Amino acid sequence: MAEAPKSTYSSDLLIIGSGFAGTFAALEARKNGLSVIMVDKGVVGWSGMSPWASDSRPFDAEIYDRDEWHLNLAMNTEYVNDRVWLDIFMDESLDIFYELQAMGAHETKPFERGTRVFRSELEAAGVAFVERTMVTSLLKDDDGRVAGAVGFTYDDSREASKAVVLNAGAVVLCTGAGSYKSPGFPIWGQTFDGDAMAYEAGATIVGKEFHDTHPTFAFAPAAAYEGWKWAQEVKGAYVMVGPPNKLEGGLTLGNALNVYQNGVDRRLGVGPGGEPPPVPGAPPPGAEERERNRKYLGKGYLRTPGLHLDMGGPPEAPSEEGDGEKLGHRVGGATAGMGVHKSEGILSSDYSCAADGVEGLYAAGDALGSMLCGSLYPGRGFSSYGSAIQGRRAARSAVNFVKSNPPPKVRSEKIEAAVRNMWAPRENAEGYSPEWLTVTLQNTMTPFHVLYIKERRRLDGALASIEFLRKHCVPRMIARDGHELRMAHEVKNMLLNAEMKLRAGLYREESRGTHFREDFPVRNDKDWFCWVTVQQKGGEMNMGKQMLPEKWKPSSSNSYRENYPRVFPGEDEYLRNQRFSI
Amino acid sequence: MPIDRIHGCIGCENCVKACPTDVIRMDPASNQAFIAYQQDCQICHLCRLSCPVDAITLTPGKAMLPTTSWG
Repeated sequence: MAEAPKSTYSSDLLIIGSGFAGTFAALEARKNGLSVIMVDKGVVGWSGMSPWASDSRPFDAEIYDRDEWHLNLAMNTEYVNDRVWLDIFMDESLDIFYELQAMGAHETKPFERGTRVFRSELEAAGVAFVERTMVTSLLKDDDGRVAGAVGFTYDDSREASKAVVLNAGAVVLCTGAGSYKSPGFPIWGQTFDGDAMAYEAGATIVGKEFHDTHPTFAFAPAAAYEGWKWAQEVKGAYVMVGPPNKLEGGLTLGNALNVYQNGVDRRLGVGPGGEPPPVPGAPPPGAEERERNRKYLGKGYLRTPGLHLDMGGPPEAPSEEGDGEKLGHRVGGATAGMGVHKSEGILSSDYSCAADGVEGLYAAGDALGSMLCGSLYPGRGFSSYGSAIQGRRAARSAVNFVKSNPPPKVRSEKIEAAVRNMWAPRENAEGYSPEWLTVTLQNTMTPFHVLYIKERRRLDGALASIEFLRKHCVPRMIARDGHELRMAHEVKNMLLNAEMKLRAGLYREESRGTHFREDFPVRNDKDWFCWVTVQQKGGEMNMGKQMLPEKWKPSSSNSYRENYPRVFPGEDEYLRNQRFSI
Repeated sequence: MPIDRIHGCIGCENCVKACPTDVIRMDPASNQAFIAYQQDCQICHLCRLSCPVDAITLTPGKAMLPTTSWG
């Protein structure tokens, strides 16, 4: 092959991604004296989902009750949320609120925050940027320690694409989550790149059986902006008042289960959750919660001037009056492939944000499988603050690691092999286009009877297709230019995610939160009070269970239905017929 | 159509930087932004929101790629 032109950089710490997690990680590492390179697939300030982060829900001990937050979040997320991470969130989120205020982030609209505030903070702190560069694999030294990464520049309009080698003492993945570039959600730039790199490096991945369940519009399914217009028009901090709800307000599987049981309801409304139209004469939904939350007003951090206060209830309708008719009812799959914010990705069992089993590798934000939000997103306000807290935490751990270890050295043959592998789709003359692979992946995974309503034979069928695409087609992808090389690596990562999602869905033989199995339509705390883990061993994808502490289980003095008020289709019948107790 | 046209570009590159999916590139000859990979537009409007002269037009519809047996 013709050798790819190459640029090489070195730093104490490499941070991949520059949203909330990456920004807070980089600022913390600079405060502690490390040299930092931040590499981004896009441009720092525009990165990832951060231009869409609208809501916040900091915990203020002056006005909120810690036990109530624990109870409500556990019930809403069906008890598989990580309570230690929730304590960390409750300890640190108010600090993030005041830090964002001090930076001036409360004076911006969501899409302006990155360019007007985060980017200038990072520049002032002396963080170096490597931008419009897709990172494809991690580099390791001969002891197995992560020592940097390899990527490439895809914009070849002004100069040819080149390989980028980033040497570092440690790496923090702040790469966000991903979807299958599904219509109606602005996350196409993220394609599980962090998971893919970490998995290849030997890390453990969790949370793949659970889903984000955002819907889109039937008559304009690709119109992502229509669902977010309201947020981009809000200038300032948008604060969710009160604790997370016990049952309501989360991204549940409700719409998909309704469709499965009753067919499509073409009257579903245009609110972000697909809320049904109001019943004439009935009290407005959420009225009781809004009334209850009035007691917090004028207290604690809510005294801060200029806040936009959300008192609870269903989210504001995203569109102007009349759009409901034009855009149609809500249809599922806008985030197909995406797990739950803060609950899918790289496992760090000791809360340090260090990837289990891989020295020198850290993760934060939606790249970290912290399981803060368990099996479903429990109402708005956890995501961006969770990312900021974890970014800071990951940096502190990485700083200690870098300061107590000599810089690693990667053999040049390893770097050359990584570059060759990355460049391979540019060399193939015959094979498959990344665009076709992407559409075939979407068509395989997105239908509700594969993605949301799971059953062994259908999961096996989809898995057979995805395995073929990974084994036969991925090594034969063709990329004619830099843009297609990016598409090729993105679909490779999305296909890996699809296999993880199918295998995790098959493995968890129960139903819980956003994971529903027709053939196991019941929660089973005896066998499945765990997180499902995915790890590469000997080239194979290995599934495992990480059992959770007994004390996190729902109260044994309550009835099953008191602990799990949401009813899955077929669940009551299954419970009546079961021969053993769960 | 997703991103539909760029008319009246002043060459600031904001839209190129804002686009998360590499749809927009700079034409080195004219020093103006152009739509290079329209099929990858996710209709998020970050390009339009970032444009200082309101040069970018988007529409909410999108032609979805038809399914084929290979490609």
